[in-house]
Amino acid sequence: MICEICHENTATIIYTEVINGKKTQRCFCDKCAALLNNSGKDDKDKLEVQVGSILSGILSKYMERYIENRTPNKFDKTVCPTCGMTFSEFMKDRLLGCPDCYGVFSMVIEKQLKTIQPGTTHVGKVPINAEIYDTETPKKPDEKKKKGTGAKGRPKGTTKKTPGGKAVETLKEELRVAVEKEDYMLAAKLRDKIKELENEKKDKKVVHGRKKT
Amino acid sequence: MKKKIKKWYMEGKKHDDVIVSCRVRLARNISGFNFGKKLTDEEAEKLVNKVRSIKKEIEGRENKPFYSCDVSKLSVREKNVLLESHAISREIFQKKQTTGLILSEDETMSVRINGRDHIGIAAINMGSDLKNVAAMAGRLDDLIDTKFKYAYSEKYGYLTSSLTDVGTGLKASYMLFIPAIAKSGNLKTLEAEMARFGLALEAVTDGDRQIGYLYRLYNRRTLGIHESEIYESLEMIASQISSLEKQIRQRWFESKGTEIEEKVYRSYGLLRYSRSLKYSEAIGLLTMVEFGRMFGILRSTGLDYDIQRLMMEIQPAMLLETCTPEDREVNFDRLRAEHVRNVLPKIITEKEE
Repeated sequence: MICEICHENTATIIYTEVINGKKTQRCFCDKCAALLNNSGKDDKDKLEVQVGSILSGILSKYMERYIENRTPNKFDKTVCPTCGMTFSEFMKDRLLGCPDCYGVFSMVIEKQLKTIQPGTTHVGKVPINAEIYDTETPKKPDEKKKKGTGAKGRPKGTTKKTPGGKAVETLKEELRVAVEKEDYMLAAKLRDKIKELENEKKDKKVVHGRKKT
Repeated sequence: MKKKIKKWYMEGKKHDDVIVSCRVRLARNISGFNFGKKLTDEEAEKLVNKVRSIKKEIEGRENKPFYSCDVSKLSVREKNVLLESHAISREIFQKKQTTGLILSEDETMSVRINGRDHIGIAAINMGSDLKNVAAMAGRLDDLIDTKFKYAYSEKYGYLTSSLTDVGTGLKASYMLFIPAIAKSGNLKTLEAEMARFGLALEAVTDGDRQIGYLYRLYNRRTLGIHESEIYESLEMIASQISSLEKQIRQRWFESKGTEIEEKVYRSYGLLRYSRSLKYSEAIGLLTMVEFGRMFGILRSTGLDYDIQRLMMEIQPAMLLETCTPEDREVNFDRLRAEHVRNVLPKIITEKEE
């Protein structure tokens, strides 16, 4: 049986719930069960799964074991240089301390977002006058603020780049490879996708951010 | 702070018997400040003052008066009123740090400062016109965008302290009055169904007790989904729930008509003549009276006092606001009964027809 949360690991905890004579069975792997327990009662939003409080007691044991036995995580000693948020502090209630935390805990965040959100890339409204943070690479303690500014504050000489720009560039590269390989089915799909993205950009109020250095 | 101003929930009947009101909330953070969890007291004060300073600009843009206040300095009673009328979140209500609020006089638009995120833009109105409410919130958002630098990333969109808000930062919701669905036992299935659409259906509570068969339907997902998709799915599901509720009500009425008629009149009688009403009891009775009106059992004369409004007004802190009692010793149950007696619409009895 596969864990119903991560759909990756084998489920080791099978939990049968009987409410008003209705039986439901849930299966989790150690890891997800531990995280589930850690997410707390009030945070119904955080994980779509809500499990009875009895389970919480059972799972706390797994949490302890999980913490003891797991191979030391490279994030364990990670601290956000801007706000001082530690990894364990973040895992406790899943609240971030500052915008830079996104970069610092990026690996974990990406994984968590996959479980609670339909995608991991923003689509939708774009601010006009924002401070653009790099949320993919962690900020180093001595590094100066690695931020671009919105359209108004863009320094001269930097390349313009739209929020959706990266995706288009990657697609174009893939298109080139596909044409070389003479895989025209794929190439056609990519071409359409690029067109779609570029049209979308035209339609949107396009805001330029600075190219990441 | 209190003049008698017409608030959004006093705006007569605009809702369709199921969809009571709709709300849009946008979570935004300003760069240069840590998020709530890591925000120091001094920083919090600075943040609140900074954001509160744009009240004039908001008034200019919206062309209507706004209040602005330091919520943390208000009395518990004042805070309770704001909480019961949905003007502040529970988070701001409980926070010891400096928190702020810019609120339009009719309470439809608000900017809550230093809640879970730096800025919580909210717009609320009676009825089901979510698009209009979204536009109101959008206007506030655009204005604040020109004044401060939002924390934003190309990948994750608007950065928020919780991963459940990141991306669009948008939580849109409908308040639904669905007693028939709730009583029919279909609620659990419906709740489970909602997850498939990335939505959630939750009972509206005042902390621990449920408020009169009111449920909030809102979007869980905020990242990788466009604002318009969120609005569309909510609108679609809300109208489906609405027609389901009406179906069940109708079926119920057809099979148990006389029984319901008896209950409706009995409830009306109790509300009309009671001298003391507990909150939960009043809500139950008002629900039956509302049913009576919907099924055409009860017909009121003249002023059609909205039952949904009455349900809001009989909450403790709101009662104090509407009734202004002379003596300091307040018996809420008596006060509630008195208020209900005063405003409950008169009904046309069969003889008068």
